[in-house]
Amino acid sequence: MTASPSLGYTRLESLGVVHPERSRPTEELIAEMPNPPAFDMVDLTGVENRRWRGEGEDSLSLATDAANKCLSASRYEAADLDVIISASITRFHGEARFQYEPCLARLIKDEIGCRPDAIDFDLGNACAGMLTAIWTLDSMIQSGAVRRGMVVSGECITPITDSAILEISEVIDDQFASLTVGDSGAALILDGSPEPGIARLSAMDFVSVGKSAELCMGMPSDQGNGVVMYTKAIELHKAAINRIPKLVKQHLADRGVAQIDYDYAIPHQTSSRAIATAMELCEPHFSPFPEVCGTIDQFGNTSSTSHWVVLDKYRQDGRFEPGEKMLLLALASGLVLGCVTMTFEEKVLA
Amino acid sequence: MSAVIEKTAFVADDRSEAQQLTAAAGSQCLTEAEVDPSSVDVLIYAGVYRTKNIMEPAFVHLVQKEMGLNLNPKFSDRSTRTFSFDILNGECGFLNAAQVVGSLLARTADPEKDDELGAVRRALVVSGDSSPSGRTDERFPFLASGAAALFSWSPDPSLGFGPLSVGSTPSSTKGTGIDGASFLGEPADHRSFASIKVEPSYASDALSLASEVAGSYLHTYEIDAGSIDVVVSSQPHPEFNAKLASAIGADRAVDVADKLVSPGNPHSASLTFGFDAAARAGMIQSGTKVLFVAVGSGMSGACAIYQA
Repeated sequence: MTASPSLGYTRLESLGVVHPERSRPTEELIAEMPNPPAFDMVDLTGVENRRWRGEGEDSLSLATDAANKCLSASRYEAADLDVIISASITRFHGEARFQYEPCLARLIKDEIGCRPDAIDFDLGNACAGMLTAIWTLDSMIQSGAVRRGMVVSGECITPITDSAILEISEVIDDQFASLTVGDSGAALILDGSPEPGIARLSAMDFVSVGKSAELCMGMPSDQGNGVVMYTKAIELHKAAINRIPKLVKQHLADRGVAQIDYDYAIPHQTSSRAIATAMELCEPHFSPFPEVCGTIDQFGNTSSTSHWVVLDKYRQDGRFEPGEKMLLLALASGLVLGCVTMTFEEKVLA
Repeated sequence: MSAVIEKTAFVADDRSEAQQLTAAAGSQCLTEAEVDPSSVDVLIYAGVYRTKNIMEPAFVHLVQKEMGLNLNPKFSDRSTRTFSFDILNGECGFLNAAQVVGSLLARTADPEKDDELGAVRRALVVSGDSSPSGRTDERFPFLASGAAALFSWSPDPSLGFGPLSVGSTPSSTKGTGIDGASFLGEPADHRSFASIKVEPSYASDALSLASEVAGSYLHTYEIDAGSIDVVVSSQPHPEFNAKLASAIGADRAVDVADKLVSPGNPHSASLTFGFDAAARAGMIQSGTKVLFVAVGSGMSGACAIYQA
């Protein structure tokens, strides 16, 4: 959904990303498994470490911490936000408590000190949640419904790893992907100001492939172990891998561009092999081929926050220059695919 | 004014499973609107309690699959694409979705904007809850139902939804009103059950908050309460709509409130139920002024005027 020049382009004004302190290596998880996998998990996925929730940390605390970190880096205060959207998959609030109502955005809104009349709601789209919320908030800003707002996600997702460690029993098991995830929180503020910010959103395209809706499913465990995620990894890979380059091609063609000089690409952080394959298939659309950014080795798949975890790390390392172009690739259960093009504005140092 | 409701549908029958009920409402809505289902650009599920307490994918994708809506898109042909996601905010979710849809439609309608690119011309908002078990369960306090509202853009700026206002009561004052959660550490069939606690004072607290949010809205936007023809509201009990209309001085709406009473509390589907009931009773005509008022867990309230 492109912002045409007459409407202006939405600005990414500030960003805050948090990680739990504890890092757990893959070997440690494998050592706990009654039925460890026969293959080398690190070699297959590229996940060497992931961050693990600490005592008292949950989806709400990670979201609130990220929101406060974002505000501390922002020109705005919480009271300036017209809307807050919580986009996480996980809804842990308290010990093993998965909350359906009130919505998390309402709790975060109260915690960080937004105005009582600020709009709040949760938006869900699996790992594409934050990008979908950004697409939504972009439209709300550009249509004049709101001036500025926050998209936030606190993902306390390692409970599915706890379950997988106990429940994996097959040679090819649907819970293997649950061993690749890590916890995090991310929050960002968008507005319509023409002043330079971190980056400007140029174009966004999303599509739902409904026939593949059941290839990755998360729900409560049926063995009393909290929550589980079943991923038909081979089918999911097949459903996504050829569609991703087609969507990239369409994303560019819709804007009259056959090839584009992206400086960076951040694919959703699933596994290093899958990412490499997808990017290779997208190669004809890039000139030159962008630097592919990733943090899967140290943080694993952080689900809806993944792109922002990567972007924040590279930003902290001083990697982006004003004018450089970035492609974010969304891939999520649904099956949801998406392309987001953005251009950096300020060089932000750690 | 932006988004207008083309058609609504509400389904509450002997089925008790959210995916089936919401998909049935969605399909019925599109059939009655005589609209090609593939023309739906955006599909939003604005319900809360879903089958098996599924956390992933967004529940809307299962509804989309059940409806058979653009399941295998060709990326180069936007008429084969329906983008879908969930919005969750208890009983207020429908109004959040209506505002989001309004923004999506408004961007497409901008005359200076590239016409085809990412056009959102039609959006379907489905809602409705069921016991996660998909069966009748007396512990589930709401009416298992499905609802659908089809939105499109009107070129007439005086029609459709006006601005959205929200209000809240701090949880320190009255609790959250309704608290819905799964306690996964406790032994239970967590795919079949969600713990839903309703405060004893919920009915009166909800009326207070709804009256406050609606009254404030009328004042802010200088709307004469006497000009409101219909109040479409949450339905924690059968007399709620009439009491709310009376509290805010919408006398015409008090007179028709008995036509909008639902058989049970449709929770997230309440507002679509109310509009659908009003429409089927012939109450929504050109010029009809509708005040949508939602109140729910938080406690949170939301209000928007709608001009038919």
